[in-house]
Amino acid sequence: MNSRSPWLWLTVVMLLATGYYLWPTVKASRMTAQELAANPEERALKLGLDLRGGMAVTMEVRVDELIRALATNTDAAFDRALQTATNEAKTSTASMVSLFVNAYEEQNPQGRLARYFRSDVDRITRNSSNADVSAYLEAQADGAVNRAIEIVRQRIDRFGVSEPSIVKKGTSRISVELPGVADGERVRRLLRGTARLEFRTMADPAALSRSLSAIVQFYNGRTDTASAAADTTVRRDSSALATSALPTTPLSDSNAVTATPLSDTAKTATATPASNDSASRARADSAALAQAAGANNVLLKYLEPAGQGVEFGLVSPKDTARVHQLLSRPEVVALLPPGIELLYTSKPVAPGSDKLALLGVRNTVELTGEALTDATVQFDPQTNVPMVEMRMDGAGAQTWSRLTGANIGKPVAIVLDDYVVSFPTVQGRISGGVSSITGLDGRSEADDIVTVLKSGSLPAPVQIINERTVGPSLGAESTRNGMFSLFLGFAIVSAFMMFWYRTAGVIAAVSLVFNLLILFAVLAAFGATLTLPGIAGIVLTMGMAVDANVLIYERIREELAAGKTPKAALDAGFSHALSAIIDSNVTTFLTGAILYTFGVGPIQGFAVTLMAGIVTSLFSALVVTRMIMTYFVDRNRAVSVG
Amino acid sequence: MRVFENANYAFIANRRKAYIFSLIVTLLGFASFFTRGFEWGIDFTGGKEYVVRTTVDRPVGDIRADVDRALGGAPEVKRYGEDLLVRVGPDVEGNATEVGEKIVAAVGNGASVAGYDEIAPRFATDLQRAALYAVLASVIVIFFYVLVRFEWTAGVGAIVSLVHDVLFTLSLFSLLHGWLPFSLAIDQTIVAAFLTIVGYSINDTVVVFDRIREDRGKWKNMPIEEVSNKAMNETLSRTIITGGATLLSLVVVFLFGGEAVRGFAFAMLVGILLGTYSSVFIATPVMVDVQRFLARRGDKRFKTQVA
Repeated sequence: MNSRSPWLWLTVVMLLATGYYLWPTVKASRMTAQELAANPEERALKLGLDLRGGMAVTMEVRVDELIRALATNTDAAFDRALQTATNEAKTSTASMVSLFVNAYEEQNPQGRLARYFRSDVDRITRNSSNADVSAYLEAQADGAVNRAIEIVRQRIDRFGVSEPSIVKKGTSRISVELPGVADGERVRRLLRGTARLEFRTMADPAALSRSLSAIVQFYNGRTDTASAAADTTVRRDSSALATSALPTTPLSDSNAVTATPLSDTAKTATATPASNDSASRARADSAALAQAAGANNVLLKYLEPAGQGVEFGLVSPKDTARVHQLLSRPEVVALLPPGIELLYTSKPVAPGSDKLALLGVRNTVELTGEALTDATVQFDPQTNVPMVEMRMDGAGAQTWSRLTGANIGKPVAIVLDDYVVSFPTVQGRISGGVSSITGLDGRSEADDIVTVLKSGSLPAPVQIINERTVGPSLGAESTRNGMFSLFLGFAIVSAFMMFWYRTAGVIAAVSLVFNLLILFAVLAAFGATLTLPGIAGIVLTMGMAVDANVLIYERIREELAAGKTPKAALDAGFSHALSAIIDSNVTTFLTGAILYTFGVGPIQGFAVTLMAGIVTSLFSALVVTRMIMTYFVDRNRAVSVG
Repeated sequence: MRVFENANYAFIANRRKAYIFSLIVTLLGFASFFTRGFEWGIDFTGGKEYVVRTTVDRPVGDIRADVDRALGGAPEVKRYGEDLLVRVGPDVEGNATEVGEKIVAAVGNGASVAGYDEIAPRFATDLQRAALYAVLASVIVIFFYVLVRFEWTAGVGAIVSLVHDVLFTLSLFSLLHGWLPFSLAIDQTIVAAFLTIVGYSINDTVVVFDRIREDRGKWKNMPIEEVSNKAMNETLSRTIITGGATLLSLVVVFLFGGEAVRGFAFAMLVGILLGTYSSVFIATPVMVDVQRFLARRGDKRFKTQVA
């Protein structure tokens, strides 16, 4: 057998390729962080967030909100179908659009979706079939997700993270990885905001003040048992980590007009809590609440009435959900001045207090962020406090000029994603198309607002459904642990093999080194990311990699015992062990492939190293080990197999 | 070094002892599934998990009580190496930063959040589904692989042994959680470990079956019990050495790989041990028993001692 020919060349080629693919990683590991930032090594083996530290966020584009936004008019049937689809989406893999269309067709066999989605631009007419509408919605949803990815990318780029990764997952999910970032609050703010900017006029102070007293009057001597119950359901329903504060009214609420539970204070207060189960505890809670409120007012427990200017009241951030419940009862909404809704400020209005102001703002949107041409961070000349200056296009400037001209001396609300970021009082007509957002916390907030304004608004709200942060110290520890395990694992497995098989064991250890080098090169070549489970996978494959060697050596021992010459025993050992080696590796490889298909994040890292490790260990056992052993046997040197 | 060179252990003759041992543990495990249940990671339930770095040396029970007072919702607090692991359910209000600040305040001076993971229930159901599909897919794939590669009686033995390995490991996770000084939470990583165990267990079994097939060709008149026992003894050295090398590397990961992979390494350790045990004591004996049963029913293909 000519041992030189194919195997040697194959090994040489593999080693050259290994060097080629590992070189960038070696180079990168010798550079400092600054050098790396200036001159990133694109082809170096990437470390996962669990090792280098950083933040990973998975977001879901709310296609249901998009469908609602696309509809030009809605009715109860529409709402019901959308609600059904939203519920089904929790357990189904089908797209939200198809769930919605199916739910609608099921609930309304004769119904035509075209009546909700008429659009001249997209040629949805009265006569469009449901299939047409479905295709139109799918296209819109797909476009919305892709546009959302683009916008997220722009925002991240401006945020200034090195090597971020932004990937579309499934039909409506976006996975974002930000190495080295640990400020969850800021990232959330940056990613989640739909960046819907609106300019609106505000409520008439006198009318608002009258409404306030009427509403307080309404809650005099009334408990909030009804809303407390509703409150808990809302809390349980919030299956997303962060929902934009859109006041979506559940269907059942429309019934509440006729059947309002009006339990009076005295009655509830007499209800005595009996046992420890949660139901009676809830009853006890509301009883205590009613008692504490007593003659006082349940609304006033949570809301500090302001009744001055456009301020309706002050609310502590932890009570906003409860206040929302209290104020969204239909009877209460009816007491508000017509065309007015209540929106929170994005931050506390008074220094030293954490309370947000609830402001009366008109429903009508006068001007949107689409009119903006530019947004920049400026500094107040007097106080040097950062603010955001916005410039508008021609039409926007005209509207702005008319709006400010008609409202001199009155406040105008600048609303970003349903929160009032600023409500300056108009001093005079502004004709240049310039406005600004003031009262910001600092430079970073100003930067972030500019970023979201400039990258445009998201076509649909997004929810963060998974958020993982690994601090730098934790990451460094994991890296240290992982690398230590890797070296120790290698040392122990090698020592074990040498102890057991003597010379052949040394050869096995050498081929294990080859195996590891090639494995890392393969990972780098395929742009895989090394995670802690991935390193565990490598250590595991080291144990399994020697399996091929073990099978071969055991076989050679048997053949030698049967009286064959070393050379014959070697050949027989390799050829007889082959079927067992292949068989035993195929199943583990298949398992790896399945894990890769269904796994998320770090698990995929494990699956990749497992699969790559199997392939490289086959190569090193069948080619490298064989080559070295043949080299010795051909020269009539004894290779001890122990 | 040679230890199992001319091994001649009576595996097949003693198979019933192994059956009984495995049955007892699995039955205990089943009882535990329903009484003790499992420690679930947030991957499948939703919620938040924090790694809290602290210099405070207080009993974990006290810290748990303080965190519960601050947050409600019966949080889990346990040692996590030198850190603490705090796990709260999805019904605890507040975003990750707010809850983290409350936890840090409750744990006491000098504590800080070193890392956290938050999963929305909506995402958790997806992960549940993905895990279920992964398990089903691997069972199907491996079943067909065994079916194609070996005759069906061997396939039965292989499937029984891998179901045995997973049930046995699950039993230990249910029986032992809370007793061991590290987290035995069932999460994605553990599912990955289980699938790897399945792959490995088959791997080990396949090597023995390979040898049985070969030996049956050589000794055509030997009854199946004897051929199987012979093949197992012949491959015993390999089974032990490979198992040993893999176990050594796993012990390293278990001891030095850090808290994040400790539960994973534990599952793998137990799984590899079981995979080795079951390929010898379950897979082949079950195959032999199936063939004995068929021979008794008059199937002429199988030569058994009692035929």
